[in-house]
Amino acid sequence: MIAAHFFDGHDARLQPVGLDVRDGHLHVDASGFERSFPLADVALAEPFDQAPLVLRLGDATCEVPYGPGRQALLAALGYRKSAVERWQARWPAALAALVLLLALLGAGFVWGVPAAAEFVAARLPASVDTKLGQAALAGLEAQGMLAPSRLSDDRIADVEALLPRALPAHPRVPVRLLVRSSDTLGANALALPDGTIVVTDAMVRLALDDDNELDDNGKAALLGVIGHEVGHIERRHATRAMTGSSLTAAMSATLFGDFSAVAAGLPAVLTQMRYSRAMELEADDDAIAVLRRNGLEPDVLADALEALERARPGEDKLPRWLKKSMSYLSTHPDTAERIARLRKTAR
Amino acid sequence: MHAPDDRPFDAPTSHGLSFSGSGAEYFRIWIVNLMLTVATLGIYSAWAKTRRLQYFYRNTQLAGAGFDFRGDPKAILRGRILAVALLAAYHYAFGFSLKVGVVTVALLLAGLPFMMRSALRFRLSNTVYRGLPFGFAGGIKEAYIVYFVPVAIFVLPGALVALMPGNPGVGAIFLLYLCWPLMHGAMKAYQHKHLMAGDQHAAFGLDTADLAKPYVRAFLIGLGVMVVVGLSIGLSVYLARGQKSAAAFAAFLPAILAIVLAYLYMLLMGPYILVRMNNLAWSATSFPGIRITCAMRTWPYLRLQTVNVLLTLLTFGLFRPFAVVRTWKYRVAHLSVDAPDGFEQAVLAARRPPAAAAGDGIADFLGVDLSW
Repeated sequence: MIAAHFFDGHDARLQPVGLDVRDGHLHVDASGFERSFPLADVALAEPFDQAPLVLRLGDATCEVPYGPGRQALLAALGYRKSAVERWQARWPAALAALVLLLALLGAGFVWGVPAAAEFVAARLPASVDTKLGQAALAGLEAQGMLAPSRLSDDRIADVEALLPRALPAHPRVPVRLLVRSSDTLGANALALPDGTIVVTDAMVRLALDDDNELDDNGKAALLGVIGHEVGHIERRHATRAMTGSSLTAAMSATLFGDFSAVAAGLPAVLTQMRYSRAMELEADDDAIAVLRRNGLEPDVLADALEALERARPGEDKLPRWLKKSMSYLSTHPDTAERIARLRKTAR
Repeated sequence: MHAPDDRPFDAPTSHGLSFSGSGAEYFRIWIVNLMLTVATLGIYSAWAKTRRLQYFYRNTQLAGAGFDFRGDPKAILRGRILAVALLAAYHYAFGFSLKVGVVTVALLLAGLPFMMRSALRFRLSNTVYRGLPFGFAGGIKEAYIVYFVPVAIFVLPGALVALMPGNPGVGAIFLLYLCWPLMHGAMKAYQHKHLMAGDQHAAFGLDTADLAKPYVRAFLIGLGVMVVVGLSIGLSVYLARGQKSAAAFAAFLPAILAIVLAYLYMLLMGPYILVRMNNLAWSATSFPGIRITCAMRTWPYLRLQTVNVLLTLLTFGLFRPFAVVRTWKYRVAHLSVDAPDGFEQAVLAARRPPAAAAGDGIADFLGVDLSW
């Protein structure tokens, strides 16, 4: 006999009863009260360490307070722990769950999200690219991050004239090049999803020689930079990276319950977006091909990157959250590695 | 008058709630839940939620009997799928076209109050004490009156920005937040007024304005803080006139202290209002023969939550299950139930039909507090 509380499900009266398991039945006994239930009709709710056991008997419920008779009752009822209950019952297994969780999250972010992003991006129609690009440009202009260029018309024409030399014979989308002044972006070049390349005034100025002229060297450097951005556009990197970062944001929002990242909108996504290392290297390969096609060596792009590095020394080594200004280097990681790689190709 | 001291003194008429769970035990449940949820891309979360609620309810006892949760995880899963679909629709609707966006926002405005009510019904009708379910008897019409404006504040800003980009008048919608105390009070009143235990309806002695009082107090304290801040900054500017740098720094001390004070005020008011409103709402709720008293205190609660947040951050989230247990224990310990004629005398009756479960997921997903 195990002492328990019986509730008939019709009123809230607590009836102290004795429980007994005999002949495949659960017998519930109290003074002037006796019922029995076939064991098949007894549903035992998941037992917790210190909580009362809960037996559901159709409409009625039995609660067995925490106490010594508990194990015997569980055994008599033929209770067997489910896999999840066994798992959460022991510390080593629970800690293994923690390790497994971290591994799953890591794998999800490293392989799962990029794979899903590729899958989604491959199915996005080209009209999405156009819309994304237009919205991104409008957003950057509305936030005052891009303003009309302060360079002379001739200088802008010089830069624009470089674009046809950087394009493949049959571009995937029509590509256009804009020169814009920007205080926040610094010396920078952006490839928007719709095929718009934005080169900042500061980037052009960095390519000028000592006499403030755009000589062949400067043109070659800019050609390398533009070739790199054309590579991003030809390979649709922006759309793919944006799909990835919005998936990441959605995933972390689900995990941590913060939807501000999802709701922040396109400009935020664009400025926080980072191309993967593989994407950068692919675009570098494209830039090398462009330079070679124009009879130039990849060294000039390496020189340009070094000039950028000199203009903002050491910035690339700062952790991302410390980088307040958005220079070309902070949106293009691993500069040292890229320079070394370009030099190696040149040799 | 002479007190009738010859009456036999039986069971105490006041019962506290007790909690028999522990942070360590819940940690193991939590981590396995979390792992399985991630491994199943969120599908298991419905089962995880059921297990979590069962752990907390079954370990909570009142007058010799425990609580229980009997919700169907599959219903919760359906609610969550609907919630994810709605959220995705809201996020991407205006990207497709203006028409799709307007239709989505209209659907949300029309649907969310209904779902909030469904969430209350689902949660309460699946919460069981002494073999009887609780319930929620609030009507649909009142749900719309209470929830429409808060839902509009949540849904509309994004929609208006999309419809009228660059229109500064759009910001006016945020003025509605000034009415937040009344909205919050109305929601709390709605939630408590229509509580049921078995077939017993709750009596609720407060109205919206009473429940909004903690906000008024907080606002008045805020005014005081602002006056102090203003005076301190004024004093600093006065003292700093024509001073050398070191002395000027000392003169600015009042201003710095004032700004620290203002920050502290903003940090403290959230928990203060939560504690006060909870106390007000629960202490005003009663059932025939049964009175509820909630006596949480601001400072201890604040200390508890500060420790919780700090330790959760320091342990990269691993303290979270312990924090949840600590908070639950605190709330349970400060809730008591009075039955002058004895608990057993208050015999309640009959079940109620199950509610549509679709609302529970969305309320949980969006972090809407359904209280308990």
